[in-house]
Amino acid sequence: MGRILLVEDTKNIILSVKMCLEGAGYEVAVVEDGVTAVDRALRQKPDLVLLDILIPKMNGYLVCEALREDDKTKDIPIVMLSAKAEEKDIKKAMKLGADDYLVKPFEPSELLDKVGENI
Amino acid sequence: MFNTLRTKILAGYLILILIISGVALWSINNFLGLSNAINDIMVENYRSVIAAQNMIGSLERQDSAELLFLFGRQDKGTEVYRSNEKEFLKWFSRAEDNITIREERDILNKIDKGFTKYLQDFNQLQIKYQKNPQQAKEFYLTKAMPHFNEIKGWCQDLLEVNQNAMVKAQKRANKNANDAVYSTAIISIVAIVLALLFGIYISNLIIKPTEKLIETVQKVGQGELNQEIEVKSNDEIGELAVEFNQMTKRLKDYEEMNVNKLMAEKNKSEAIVKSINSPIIVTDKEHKIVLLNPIAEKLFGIREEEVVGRHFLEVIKEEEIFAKIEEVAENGFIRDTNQKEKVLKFSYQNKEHYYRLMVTPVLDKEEEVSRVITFLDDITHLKEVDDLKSDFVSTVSHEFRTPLTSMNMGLSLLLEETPGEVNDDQKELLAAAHEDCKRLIDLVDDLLDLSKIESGKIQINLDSINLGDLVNASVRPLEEQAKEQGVDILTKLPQELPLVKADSNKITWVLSNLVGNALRYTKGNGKIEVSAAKKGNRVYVSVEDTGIGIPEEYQDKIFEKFVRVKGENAIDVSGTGLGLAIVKEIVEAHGGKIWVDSEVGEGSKFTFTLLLAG
Repeated sequence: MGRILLVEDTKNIILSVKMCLEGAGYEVAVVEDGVTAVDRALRQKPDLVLLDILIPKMNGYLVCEALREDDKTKDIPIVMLSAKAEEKDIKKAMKLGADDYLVKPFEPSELLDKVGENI
Repeated sequence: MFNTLRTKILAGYLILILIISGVALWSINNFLGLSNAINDIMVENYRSVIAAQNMIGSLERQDSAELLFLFGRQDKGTEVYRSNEKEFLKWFSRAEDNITIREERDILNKIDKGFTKYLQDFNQLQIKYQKNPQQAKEFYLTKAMPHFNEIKGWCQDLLEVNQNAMVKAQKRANKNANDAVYSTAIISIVAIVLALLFGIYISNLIIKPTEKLIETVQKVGQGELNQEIEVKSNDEIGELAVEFNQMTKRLKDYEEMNVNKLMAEKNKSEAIVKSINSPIIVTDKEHKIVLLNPIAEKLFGIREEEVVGRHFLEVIKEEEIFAKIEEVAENGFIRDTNQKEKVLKFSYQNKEHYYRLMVTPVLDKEEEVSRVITFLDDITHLKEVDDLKSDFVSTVSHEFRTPLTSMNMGLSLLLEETPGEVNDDQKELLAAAHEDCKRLIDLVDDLLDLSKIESGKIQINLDSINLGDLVNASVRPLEEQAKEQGVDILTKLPQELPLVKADSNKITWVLSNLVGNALRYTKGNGKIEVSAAKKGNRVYVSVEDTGIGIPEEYQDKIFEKFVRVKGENAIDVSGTGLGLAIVKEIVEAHGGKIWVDSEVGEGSKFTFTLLLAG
């Protein structure tokens, strides 16, 4: 099906999102901070990155920018996951190279739709 | 005694009356003199003249009687003689009774003696005639006739004397009359001159002080309250002057008291203005600065002493504020009351300050604008609180989102039985929890929206929009739900509906919300109608349902936050209680209005207005 890198620092969300995606047959790897996320993406080259914005060490925007700058990761689809629901946040993410944006909270179906569309 | 005006006037009149009386007495005296002169002529002399004439007549007839006697008719002659003797004596005694001139008496004495002789002559003549008629004739010629002529001559004298006296009396009367004319004329002239002098004296007595009085009263009337009338007389005018001086003094005291009061009031008002912690600028009709408080001085970096009397724009270069001042000064009010009060931002003392501009006219007695008060209500604090609230709401809603995400995901996954099978009871409980979780999510969204709109952070991007597209876009997602509920959604838009000025996302949201509400409160076989109509420069958009309706007491409140209709007819519905509050904010941000017409049991009709494009 596909390998998904979930960048998220909230345990409870990791639990439900991982369960949802794995239930749909995806292989999910989880990292909890920005620096590790970039490192892991470079090494593993996942099929899609689900990226939270407010994460430790390096925020989601910077991670997004870093992934796009590197040739090895520049084509990996990135879907931002964020509680930041304002238009300016979404626009900013898109400008930095994100492919899609999912506002927290969401339904499992919405998550699966976004992932399915972008992978 | 002669102090009062009354006695002065009376004295003046008395003198005039005396003068008139004098003239009258003098005239009467003259008339009496004339009357005496006439009396002299008429009574004294005229009677004597008649008497003399009659005496001559009688004497002549006596002479004729003597001749008659001598010519043989003794009886007849004697008879005529005696009768005329009596006649003569009668007139003689009349003349004697009326002696007025000295000579008269001598003449009458002569006549008396002469006549006695004449009578004796006739007796002798009778005796002589008996003896010798020829001798008697001799006697007549030598004695009687000369006597007769003598008496007749005296009688003539008497006549002449009296006639002369008459002429003299007439001359005297003429002279008296002339004298009377002259003297009366002179005395009248003197009286007139005296009367004039008195008149002038009396009128001066009254008018001079009155003029002085008037002059001073006029000055006092013009506000010169330190004027005092010099009191000279003790009459009524003097009294009036004293009273007037007292009145002026009291008026002066009163005015000073009032001025003090006014000054106190002015100082009080100024103190109040100065102590108010928001900038206040008072301008006059010509927009010249009248008053400024210290906060205004600080804000605009000016000093009151330097700017008072100068034009507003010359000192404060704020066109926006001045436009309002001008409008208020011209109209006496701000015409555009629809517009929310403008919030102005100024920086001073390295801090941003927010002010709400309030411009108020001060009207004078004629309802004309005399002053304009510009009050910059310092709402910095409110703004800070508002910002804090927005930040808080924003933070809270963000903080809510993360746990809500895991709750929602978890519940959904459980309901979808992703982690494993769930029995029906468990599913029911999970479904209830999931529903409330979704309601919480909606509430967080709405709160955030409302806070953004209220703080003015939300941007309304106005475009020319075809309303039909928006209506379709908002109705379509709800059609399925409507069908399930057995409710028809009809759209009635006129063919030629003009474009409106709107932010399509926001108005779609408004329409979805209104139609969604209508669906919520309309059950089974109901109908929802979305219609629009152009009226003037606005389009009226209505969403009408056949639902349960809104009780009258709620119709004004439903646009407030967290207001839900309570009561037996209320349906337990899932709403955040913020939807209509947001709808109202959005519509008003478009420059429109929203209201509801509703009747319980009949349905509700929400109508909002949008401006035409272009």
